[in-house]
Amino acid sequence: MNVDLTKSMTVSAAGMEAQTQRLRVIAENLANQSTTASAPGGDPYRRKTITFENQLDRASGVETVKVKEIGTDKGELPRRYEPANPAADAQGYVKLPNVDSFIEMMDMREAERSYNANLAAMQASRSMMNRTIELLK
Amino acid sequence: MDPTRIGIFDLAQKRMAWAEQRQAVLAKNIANANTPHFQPADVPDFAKTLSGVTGMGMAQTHPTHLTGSGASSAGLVKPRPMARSPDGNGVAMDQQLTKVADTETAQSLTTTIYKKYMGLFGIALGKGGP
Repeated sequence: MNVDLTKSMTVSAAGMEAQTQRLRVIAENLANQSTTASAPGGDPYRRKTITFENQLDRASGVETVKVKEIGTDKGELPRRYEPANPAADAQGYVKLPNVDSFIEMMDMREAERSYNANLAAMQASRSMMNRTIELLK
Repeated sequence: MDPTRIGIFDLAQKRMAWAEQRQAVLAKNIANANTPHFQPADVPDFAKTLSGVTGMGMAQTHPTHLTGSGASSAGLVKPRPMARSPDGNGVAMDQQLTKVADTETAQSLTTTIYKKYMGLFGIALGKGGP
């Protein structure tokens, strides 16, 4: 038999791992939502994005999920007139990070839901395995 | 006594193998619920598996022949996704979790029947009933 329940659990664990990394990126974004540059006219913190991909894990021979890349959001940076800020340019404008806390919150909820779903799948695999072992008793 | 030659044990074994394979496929679908362009798969019905319609593995004419690793994934079906998110992902989480629950119930039923039937042998052999 080529598949067994341990492999299903490996896949679910990989899914949970991926969602954990996603949460970490969201936490970074939220923590840095007002991080501006230290030099005048410099670029502030840019929102980080995370992408997943379906990848074959050669060690176990199953297709799991991996983090493909952690990139940056190329979206436009909002500007605010604040001449007293050390990061203000010659016109007195400060570039602010392009982090939208509503988007991050939404992503956080989604990551949480996906994590829970992976956990539920893992629990199902586990109880199936337990029942198979019960046959020996 | 070879239990695989008795109808109900053979059937139970096939059903359990089917549940195990389906669980692996569903775990993959759920793990990839946020992967762009991922399309969920499913294993064919047990009835179809049983009638051998999906037997896509390599034929073995000798017991030492390899089965080939592609045999398990060859027979998968890709149902039309109910909904597709903007990134092209077709995994509907509720649907997948319902399938997981179904598979778990099917496996539970099979193991219970297996155990019960094994117990009947115990009675027949005079080892005391349940």
